Amino acid sequence: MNSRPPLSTASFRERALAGARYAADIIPPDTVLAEIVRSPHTHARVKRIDSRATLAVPGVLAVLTAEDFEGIRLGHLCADEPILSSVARYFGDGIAAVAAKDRQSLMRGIEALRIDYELLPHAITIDDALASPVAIHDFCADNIAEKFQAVRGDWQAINSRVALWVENTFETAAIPHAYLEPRACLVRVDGKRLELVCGSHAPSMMADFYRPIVAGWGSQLEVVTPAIGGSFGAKWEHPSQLVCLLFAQRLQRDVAMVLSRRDDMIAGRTRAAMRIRMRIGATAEGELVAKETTLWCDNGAYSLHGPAVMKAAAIRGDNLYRFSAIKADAQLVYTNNMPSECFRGFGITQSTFALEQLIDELARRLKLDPAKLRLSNTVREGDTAVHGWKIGSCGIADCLDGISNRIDRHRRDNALPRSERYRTGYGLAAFIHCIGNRGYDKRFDRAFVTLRTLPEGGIRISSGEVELGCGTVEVLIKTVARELATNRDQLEVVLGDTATGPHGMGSYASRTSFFVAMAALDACRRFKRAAEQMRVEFGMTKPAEIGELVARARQQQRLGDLEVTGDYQPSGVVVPDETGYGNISAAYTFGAHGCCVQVDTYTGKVTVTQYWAAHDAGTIVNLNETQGQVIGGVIQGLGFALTECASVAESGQLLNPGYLDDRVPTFPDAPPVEVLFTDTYEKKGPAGAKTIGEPPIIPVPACIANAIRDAVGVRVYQLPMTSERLWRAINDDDARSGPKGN
Amino acid sequence: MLPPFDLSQPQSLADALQALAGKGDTRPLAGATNLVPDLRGKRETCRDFVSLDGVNELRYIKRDGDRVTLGARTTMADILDDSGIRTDAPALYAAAEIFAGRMVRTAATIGGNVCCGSPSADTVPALLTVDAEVTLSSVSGQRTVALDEFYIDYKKSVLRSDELLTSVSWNVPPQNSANLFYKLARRKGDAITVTGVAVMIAAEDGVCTRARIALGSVAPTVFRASAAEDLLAGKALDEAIIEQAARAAADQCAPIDDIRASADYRLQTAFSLTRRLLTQAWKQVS
Ligand SMILES: Cc1cc2nc3c(=O)[nH]c(=O)nc-3n(C[C@H](O)[C@H](O)[C@H](O)COP(=O)(O)OP(=O)(O)OC[C@H]3O[C@@H](n4cnc5c(N)ncnc54)[C@H](O)[C@@H]3O)c2cc1C
Repeated sequence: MNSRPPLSTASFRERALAGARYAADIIPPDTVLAEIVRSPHTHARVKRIDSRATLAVPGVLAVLTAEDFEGIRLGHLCADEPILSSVARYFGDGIAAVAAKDRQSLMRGIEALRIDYELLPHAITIDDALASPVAIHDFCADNIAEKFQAVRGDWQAINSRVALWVENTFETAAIPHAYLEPRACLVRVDGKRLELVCGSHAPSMMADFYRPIVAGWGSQLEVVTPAIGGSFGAKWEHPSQLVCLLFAQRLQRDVAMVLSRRDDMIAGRTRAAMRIRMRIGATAEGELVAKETTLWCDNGAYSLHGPAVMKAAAIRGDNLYRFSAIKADAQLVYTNNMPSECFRGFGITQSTFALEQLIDELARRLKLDPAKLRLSNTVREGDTAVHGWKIGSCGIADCLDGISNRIDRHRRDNALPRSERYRTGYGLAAFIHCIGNRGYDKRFDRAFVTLRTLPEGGIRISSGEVELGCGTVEVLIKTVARELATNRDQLEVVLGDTATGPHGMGSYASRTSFFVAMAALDACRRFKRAAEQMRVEFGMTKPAEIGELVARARQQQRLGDLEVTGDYQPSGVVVPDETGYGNISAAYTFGAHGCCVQVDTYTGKVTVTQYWAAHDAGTIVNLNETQGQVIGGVIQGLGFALTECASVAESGQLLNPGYLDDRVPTFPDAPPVEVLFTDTYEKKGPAGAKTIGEPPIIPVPACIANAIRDAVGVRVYQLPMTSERLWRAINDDDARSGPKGN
Repeated sequence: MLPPFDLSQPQSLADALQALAGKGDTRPLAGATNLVPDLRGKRETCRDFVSLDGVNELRYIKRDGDRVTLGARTTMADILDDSGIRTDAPALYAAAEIFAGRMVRTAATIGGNVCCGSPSADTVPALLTVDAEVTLSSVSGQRTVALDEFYIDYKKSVLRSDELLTSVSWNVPPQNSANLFYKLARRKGDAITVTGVAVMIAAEDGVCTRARIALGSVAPTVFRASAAEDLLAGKALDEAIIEQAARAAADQCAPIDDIRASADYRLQTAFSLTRRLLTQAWKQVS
């Protein structure tokens, strides 16, 4: 095998200066190139594929179709996604793949491929899919991929306590993950050994999933992750990788595929669109009593993490408040849309849009301050929340206080004369989130960190987790340097290489920093123990300097004894029961956001003029990076709130497969963001730390929606809250009546 | 993926005109910020281009008395870097400021923006309000056309295939005038205009002496709302006249639905933005 590829450990500096090397950057010039031929139809059966002309094109090496992947399906929770499909279930579904020795032959080969389709009726809305007589999958006649229900508390008893219900129906949009680096992968072959090089936020889990498949072809597999240009939940298993693996295995040549931006957007993944009907009931004094949710989640054509995302959206956010009774009823619906996938916030980002607006509306109806209403109802340290979460350190009160003070001061200092054209308003929203999820993988929620003393000096820290740009490398270096009292230049970090490092579950569920730091602490303890034993054995009297000890160990060829692996599994966590009850995480994070918006009533245009984000992330390990993570999440949330959506034509075709019309915010759109951190200390965390990861995006759409309501008296119940939709709501008197209630 | 295409790279205007002459489907390529996305998106069928990159004589901003002339290769960034455009054509300056993002502004040219013929081309409404003229050159000669008479229909203009737009020029606005531009779009950076409005109001002794209103993205081409202009000229403006003019401007719109906005929203905002800009402009000059 040729030299090792670069790993995902590129520093922020390298990334900013274009020094990081991504999968597409390391493809050698003579590599075989592959591409997937995608369906131009939204729902169609493939009648015939004629590849004779393609194979006759000079330079074309092979063609793959569904038959080559018989019996192989992607999907951890429900294996339903073919690698290449004999039925196109969405516009862009992969039907065939071509490999050629260069790009020109590849293009010619693709043009020469004949595919005949028989069109089928399609369903691109949840309602159409539920009403459709046409099953998107043979095994699922009603197009309901999964159902979920949870009921807690005494619903008889609460009726007498609830003085006011507020209720409405909310819709969230499908949006692409909008990472900068389109998917790319390179497969290197060495006899029976295949090495998959691709940006993945969970390389070990990918290897776990792909190894049995590759073993069926008589090969072995390792996965290596170079620098990743963003994932946000999207970059793990994808048909493109298995296509390259099979080409490489068959051709015995290195094979690469780099998706064009268009292909990445029509056949990447999206945030699951949801329709959420929700009502919350409270006493006349403003004590939250009950919440009922009916939720429909657009799974898209294939399941991926849809079932888990739907469940999380249905109940997880409830844990923030002391509800006595909960009902949730959710359905995951197959449609002929691009498959949905987890996306920063894992469903809670969608449902928080509903819950936090209803709380706001409740405060309005009860004439209570929205921050105070929340303060008097949130969980506190020591609580077991309504779905079984055991609340440890909890800084929500400080977050709410911080935001409400900022809003009050801003309102006082910026009092503007009322203008007919511009209206100003303030909004607030809160959230709770977990750190890892014991329920995600039935085996465990766990992390390993290996410390290895290198013959040439220094220590290598390796882990199966990856650097997504969230600071994993820095967390590892800081932790180990402090625990072993060594210089950081003595440490090197190797991440996301299944051939050399321990197993890692991946960067999802806001778990990475917390888990790797805990595993690193354990590794350091073991390392010190091993070093101490060795010191005694070598008869070195005083506690030896690590350097001295290492020198002796090297002389005696005993360096292997200074290789240890730390292991962390949170205690007290359980796989939740089928209703979602159980303590899934070692600790929980909290936060509240606030903002000031200006609405141009002539056009409905919303400008967020100031944003405040208060987070309880435990001890802050890297202030700069944590702030960056928060600001990034806020800006990403701004797009979800106001501008982004996958525009799908009635035909099912995606109309905006590029960044000109998929409107992620640009720098001029970004508001000033003030970031506040509570000084919470989490006993179960590494040096008191919790996590940041997903949370910064979660409350953003609701926060902005609440500010819009404050400014102009109406709400847009549908994401994105575009200028046009808001302009309509402002000009539509019906919308002024607000959420229905009794 | 980009399809293969031919590209000639003349180093002078004469050579560029020669390269365009007598050949069928040959097109100039300036900043390529429209052409490359169009080639990728298979909307552009031409495969033979004449790059203007080396034609530096088309990149200038010149003043001759009251006359301002921009070479066709002048970029949006050049316009913003120039010390004078802000006063010589305030609406053009405003359009350049919110044009695309920094990266595109350094490549996108004024010639490309005018010639792409898009109804959402942001410099065009601004240029129409200063009565700009364009110079079209070919090996057989030169002609000057009022920008107002340049467009025929959606992405169609009087430009012949052997012609190059070589410059855009106009007279600086009169002393007491206001020249404004507003772009309504779905985000601030790199956005295609949903409704674009530019106005020019000049006044003397409390009377409007010249009114120009141009609208973008609300019809097959950018156009001047001439009926509205006529309503304003020679009058002291007030709320009622402005409202009437804004209505007249909206009446001249023929917007479509697309993924950025509905026709209805475009029409209504064309009205309210015109009213707003006229009000603002009148306030500045009276
Ligand atoms: C991300 C992005 C954002 C954008 N944002 C905006 C925006 O905010 N506002 C806006 O108006 N546009 C925008 N555009 C479109 C584009 O940038 C502009 O229209 C730009 O001015 C085109 O100029 P160019 O020099 O790049 O033209 P090119 O792409 O090189 O050419 C465009 C067309 O004009 C012709 N042409 C060019 N120069 C001449 C000439 N001298 N004589 C004759 N024909 C000529 C070409 O043959 C071609 O048909 C954006 C584009 C992108 C990619």
